[in-house]
Amino acid sequence: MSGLPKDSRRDPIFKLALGPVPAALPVDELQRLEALRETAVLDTAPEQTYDDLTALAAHICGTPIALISLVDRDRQWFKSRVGLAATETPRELAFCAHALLYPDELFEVEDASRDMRFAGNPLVTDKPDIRFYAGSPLLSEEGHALGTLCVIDRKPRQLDEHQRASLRTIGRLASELLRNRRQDARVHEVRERFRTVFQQTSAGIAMTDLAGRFTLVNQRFCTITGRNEAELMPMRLQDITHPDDLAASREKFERLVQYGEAFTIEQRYLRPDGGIAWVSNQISPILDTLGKATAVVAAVEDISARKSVEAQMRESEDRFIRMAQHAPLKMWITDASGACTFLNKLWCEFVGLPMQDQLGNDRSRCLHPEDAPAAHAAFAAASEARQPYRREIRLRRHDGRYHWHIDAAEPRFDDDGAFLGYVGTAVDVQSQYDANDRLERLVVERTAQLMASEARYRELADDNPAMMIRCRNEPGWPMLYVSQAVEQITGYPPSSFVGQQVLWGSLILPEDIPAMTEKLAQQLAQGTDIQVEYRIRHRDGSIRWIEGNARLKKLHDGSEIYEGMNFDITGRKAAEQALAESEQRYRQLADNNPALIFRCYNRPGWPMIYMSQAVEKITGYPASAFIEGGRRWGDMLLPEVLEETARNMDAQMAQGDVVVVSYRIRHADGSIRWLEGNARLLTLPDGEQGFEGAITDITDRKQAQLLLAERATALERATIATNAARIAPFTWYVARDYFETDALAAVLLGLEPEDAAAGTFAAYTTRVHPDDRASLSSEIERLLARGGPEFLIEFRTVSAQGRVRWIRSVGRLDVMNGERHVTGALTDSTLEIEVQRALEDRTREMERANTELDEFTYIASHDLKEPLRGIHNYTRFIAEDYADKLDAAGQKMLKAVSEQADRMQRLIEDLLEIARLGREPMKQVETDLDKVLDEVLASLAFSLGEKKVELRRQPLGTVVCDRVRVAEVFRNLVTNALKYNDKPVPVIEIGSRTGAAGNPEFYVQDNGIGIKPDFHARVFAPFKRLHAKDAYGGGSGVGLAIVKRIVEAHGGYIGVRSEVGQGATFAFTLSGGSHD
Amino acid sequence: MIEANKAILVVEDNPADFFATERGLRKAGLANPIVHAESGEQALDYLNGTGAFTGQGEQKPGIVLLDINLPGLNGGEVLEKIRADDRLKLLPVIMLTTSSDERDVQMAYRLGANSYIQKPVDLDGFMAALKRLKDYWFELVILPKV
Repeated sequence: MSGLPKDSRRDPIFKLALGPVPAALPVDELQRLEALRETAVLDTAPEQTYDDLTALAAHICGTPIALISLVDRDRQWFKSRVGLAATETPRELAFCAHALLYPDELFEVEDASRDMRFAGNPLVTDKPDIRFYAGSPLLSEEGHALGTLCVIDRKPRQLDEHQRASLRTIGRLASELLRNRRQDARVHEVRERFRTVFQQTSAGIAMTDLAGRFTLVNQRFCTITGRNEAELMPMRLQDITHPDDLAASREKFERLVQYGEAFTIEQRYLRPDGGIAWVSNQISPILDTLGKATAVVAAVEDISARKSVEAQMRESEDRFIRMAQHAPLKMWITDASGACTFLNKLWCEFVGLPMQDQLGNDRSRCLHPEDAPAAHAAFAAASEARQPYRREIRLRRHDGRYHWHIDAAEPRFDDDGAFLGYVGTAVDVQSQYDANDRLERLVVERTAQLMASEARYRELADDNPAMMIRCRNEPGWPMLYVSQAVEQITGYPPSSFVGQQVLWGSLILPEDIPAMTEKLAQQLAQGTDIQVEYRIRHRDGSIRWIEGNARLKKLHDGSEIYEGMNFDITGRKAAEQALAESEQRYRQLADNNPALIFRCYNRPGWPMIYMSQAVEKITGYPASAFIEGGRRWGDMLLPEVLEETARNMDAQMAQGDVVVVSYRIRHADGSIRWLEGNARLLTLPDGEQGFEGAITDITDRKQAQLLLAERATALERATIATNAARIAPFTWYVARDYFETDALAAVLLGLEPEDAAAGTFAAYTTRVHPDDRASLSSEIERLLARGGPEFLIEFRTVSAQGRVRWIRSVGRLDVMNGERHVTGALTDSTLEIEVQRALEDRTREMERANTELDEFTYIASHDLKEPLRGIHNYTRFIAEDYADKLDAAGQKMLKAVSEQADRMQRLIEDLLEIARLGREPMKQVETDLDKVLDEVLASLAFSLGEKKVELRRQPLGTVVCDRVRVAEVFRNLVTNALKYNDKPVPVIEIGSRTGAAGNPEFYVQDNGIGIKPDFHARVFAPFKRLHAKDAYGGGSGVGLAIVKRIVEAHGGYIGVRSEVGQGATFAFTLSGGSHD
Repeated sequence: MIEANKAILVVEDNPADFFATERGLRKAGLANPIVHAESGEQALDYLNGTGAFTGQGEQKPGIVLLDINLPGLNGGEVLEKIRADDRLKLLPVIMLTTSSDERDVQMAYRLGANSYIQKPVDLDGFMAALKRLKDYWFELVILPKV
């Protein structure tokens, strides 16, 4: 240990080189300190028992100084000292700190000035000039070294064995003292802790005997039950329980006493002031070692708030139903099977059926029969999929009329997620646009939200375990003790906290810490008990709301701890939040509605409790003016209408609890407004009678009505004038279905003149002809759909006497004051229409007749040709087979038969041709007439050659015409030119020249027999022949008729110039109309 | 080559036309027996041994000359029925008709006619056509032995 120069310690360099060498921390430092703390010895007053020990030690060892030293974190503190003035020294300088490292031994330093560890220690270099040190460690029951019992001298020395042994013994005695002290301290602490907790907890706790008589109650219990400790002591649990709840709890209590079964029950306690406290009561037995109950502990939590929340939720539900009843749109609710469980007033009024009659069925019978099956299927499909439902359907009004509606619904579920059915609305899109469409959607949303928040609340409103805590008032709040419930609340077991693996503070959500610490500081400053709310993150990641109740305590050693209880209040928080949200949304909903939604007392003046934002627009005053400012609604009404309105309301209330009134008020800006109020009488939460409903500003509507009245007079005057002209004016106010017209119109519409009073559109159109009803309706619908502006509709009416009239209705669709109306006039157009129709019919008949004629001609000639063929063939066969049996006459006769048949054939073919011309459409194309003529002449080549015809041709050119038919024309004309020619050299000239009208004129000229001028016209008539049947080769006489038809079909004309014996020139055009 | 004992079934409602057809075929040198059916029904009765031909058993002529325009069942329907019958499916059927309508031609071939001939309007032409028919179908062409 030495080896250093004797005077080295005086060497300044040496002194500088060595400072005090602090001891290392023992491995169990934390536990050691904890044990030390538990011993609760630090900073206590000196005690005789300890002083005796140090005195003894000093005496036996012969040292001037003896100490009982406890080594704290940063210091050593002397419980007892002999020969030393100081009560403590810094730990770095403590010899005892070194001694801790050798808890099983006596720690001796013979000459501290020669010991490297101590040579630089001020306690050595300066007063008290320690040279010799011997310390015996003081051990806790776990074996931690808390400090030492030590002896110190100013000169270097050693102890002898006797002294050493004594020192050890005395050390053990000192340790024993400390151990006992710790025990006592612990017991004291436990008692203290219990007392704190017992009083501290926000749960009311009562202990009773097995008969239920109170033996111990805490402050909270007293607060909850409204009685103090003195009052409670003689009483029993049963005595303060509500009679209706007694039976249930009595049975369970007996089981607890008998079998030791704990239970939880929700019940009411009676307060001496007559009030009720709803509590959740957790009743457990205190068991002895045999497991028998010896006493009872009741932990009660005041759930009045929760109950009130529940009641409010129910009330909200009721409010919703009431609002639904009032809502200006139809609402329905169905259960999971699709049967109706609720239909609001508007729905029932519309369909004309009371709700009772409809409950339990689906709504199919209110739907249009065409829509019902598909709608039912769609609804069923949506139900299966638990999806929102939306469909456009026609709903049957009470009078049988169908209105298109948008039928939409949201599914609803209970807290287990089971499907409960739908909440739906039906919006009449047939009628005018209404801002309440928005209300509908909002209401549906709100309903869904209400349902959702209710579900969420139930899910989270479970029993809350409470956890007891004891922690240091240091950052993170390191736990000294925490009860088992912490595992459920946080997901970590108690050991994690006590073992410092998890700090409570680290679980708190960072965003809650500032507010929480501020509240803490506030409460600490005020000296009240701590109660804070904050959120923590559970091990599983979920967020929990915690209510922390604690009391700050200062310990003997100066440190501060919190003791208290934490509760998981997540459920309550969620319910509070949901309520706040739904309240807010309800307000938003109300504020978005242009109608003023209100709630007031049924007292004179109708003092207001709640008004939506619309009040500002409607009255010019904000809601606060009424609710807080004392302005009475009654004061808003014009004085002259106040009494009447009140009487009206009374009269309606005598009939039921729904009131509809209209009245005038004076707006803040001085103007008069017409208002209409719809309200329902109800009992408010505080027990008083009140109204809840909606008020709308109907000033515009009223003004329109007044204007209408003024116009009616003007209209009358106009009516007289138009009646003279047999025009009947009318006006139809679409939204209100208010049809206004005069006697003439009534007559035109098939009604009696007396029926001219205003009525509905339907009333006026009862006598519309059944065949025209549908088209009239759809025309009207189209007019309304496209928004006008003008229309012309024709339809028939049938009067009661059976007279049918065609009515022409013309007019416009306008919008005035936001209201759509149709104005127009009716006239009787029967005659005009009948004439027109007759004409159409006649034309159609004619066309049909022509077609039939053509067909007949075609078929007839075809069938006629067949036997002719037969005749022809047979005569041939006879001629072939029996030629040798027939004489010349016979053969001639046979030939004649054949020729007759041939003639017949040709006749028929001509007829066929005429018919064909009528049947086949003309094909007008650019035609090279010269080529056509070439073909025609080629087909007649034989005859032309045989008769040695001199042919002269001029170019004809190209023209748009039907090639086949024009060929026919040329063939006919050329054939005629050939036939009717007796000259030795027949000359035929064919050419074209410019006609009188400027278009090409074609001609076929011959030098034949000519035609008498008298017969020029007749020549074109069918079957007209000018010569004997057989003369000039015969001929059916139809040829020229055909030619004429063809030419005229082209839009041209044909004529002949001829003199008898001078030949004939037939000229025609293929366009340009007729000529004279 | 149709054996000389195989009958020719001519389905034609116009007796004059039938007379001319028979005459034409004979003139062309045809020796086979010629059976005349005046309607589609009669033709089918003959083939199946039903109706008026009950008791005479089922017949299978060597060839059928079938007009389109017939009273009752028209030629197309007769053709259809013949082709639907397994026994008669391979029977050669020639449409011999006045109609040159493209629709009739299409229908005939679609229903399974072997050939389509329009009767010339003039007698000489008709006779010539029959000769060509006889040469082609009775001498040149090989028909299935059924």
